[in-house]
Amino acid sequence: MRVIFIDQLGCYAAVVAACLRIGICSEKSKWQQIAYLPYFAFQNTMLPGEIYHIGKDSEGYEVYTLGVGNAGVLIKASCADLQKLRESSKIMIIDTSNHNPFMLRLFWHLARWNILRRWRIIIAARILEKKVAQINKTVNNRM
Amino acid sequence: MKILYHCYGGSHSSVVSAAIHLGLLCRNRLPEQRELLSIPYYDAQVNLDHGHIRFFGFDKAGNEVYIVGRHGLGDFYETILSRVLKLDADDISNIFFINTMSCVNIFMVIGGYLSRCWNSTWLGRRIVIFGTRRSFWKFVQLVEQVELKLEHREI
Repeated sequence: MRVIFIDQLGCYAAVVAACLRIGICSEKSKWQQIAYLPYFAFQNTMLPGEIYHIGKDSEGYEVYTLGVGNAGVLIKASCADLQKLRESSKIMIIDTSNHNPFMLRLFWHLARWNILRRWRIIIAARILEKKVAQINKTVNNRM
Repeated sequence: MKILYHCYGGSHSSVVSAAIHLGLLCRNRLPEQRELLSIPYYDAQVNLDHGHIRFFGFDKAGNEVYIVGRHGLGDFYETILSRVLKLDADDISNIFFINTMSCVNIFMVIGGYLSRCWNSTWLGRRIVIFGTRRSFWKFVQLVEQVELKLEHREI
C-alpha cells in the first residue's frame, strides 16, 4: 500500500502530513524542526508533478508527497477512477492543499532567487507550525 | 490498451475526439448540430465531473476509450498520473494520454465558458458548435495520428 499526500508543490503541508504519519514530527513540533523535515520547501520552481519519497510508516506503508498544482480534488478523483479501472487499491491519496494558506503561497515565488531560499523555508515553517494540529487531524481522519 | 482523451472541461474537444475515434462522427464531412448534441457528454459536464474518468466505448481494435476534464493542468495531468501509476505498477504503457487542447479554437473556449460556467446554453452551445465545426478537421487529424501510433505501437 502506498500513501500519497498531495498539495500544490508536494513540499509544504504534504511533507508535514507525511512526516506526521511516519512519526518524524509531532503536533508539538516547532518551526525549527519543521524547517529541517525531508524535502521541506525543496522545490525551486512552481511546476507541479514532482513526487518525493518520505519513508515508511509504522504499518509498513510507503509514504510519498506529490505536487498537483491547484487540482487536488481533480487528481484525487482521477486516481481513484484509474485504480478502479486497473482493479487495484494499492494507492491512497490524501489532499492537504487546503492547509497551505494563500499567504504561504505568495512566498513560494521567492524560490526564483536562491539567495532568498533560506527565508522561504523559515517563513513557510513558521506559518505551518500553526497548522500542524489541523494537518494531523486531516491525516488521522483519512487514514 | 486504455486511451484517455483529456481537455479542460471534458465536454467538448475530448468528447469530439473520442467520438471520431469510435466512429460516432463521420470523418468525411462536417457534423451537423444535432449530431454533435447527440454525442454522450457533449456540452454536458459540470464542475463536479472534472477529474472523473468517463468510459466512452471500445474502438475497432478493442481498446477502451475514455474522456476526462482536467482544468488547466495541461500536459502535467499525464505527468502526475503517470508518476502515481508507476508506484503501483512498473509497466504503464497500456494507458495512452492524449491532450486535445491543440485543436481548440477561441470560439470553443468562449462558447464552452458561456455554456458551462455561465449556464447560458442557448448562446454558448451555438458558439461552441460553430467552433467545433471550424476545428473538426484538426480533430480528425489528431485521431488519425493516435490510431497510427497505436498501430505501430510507438507508445
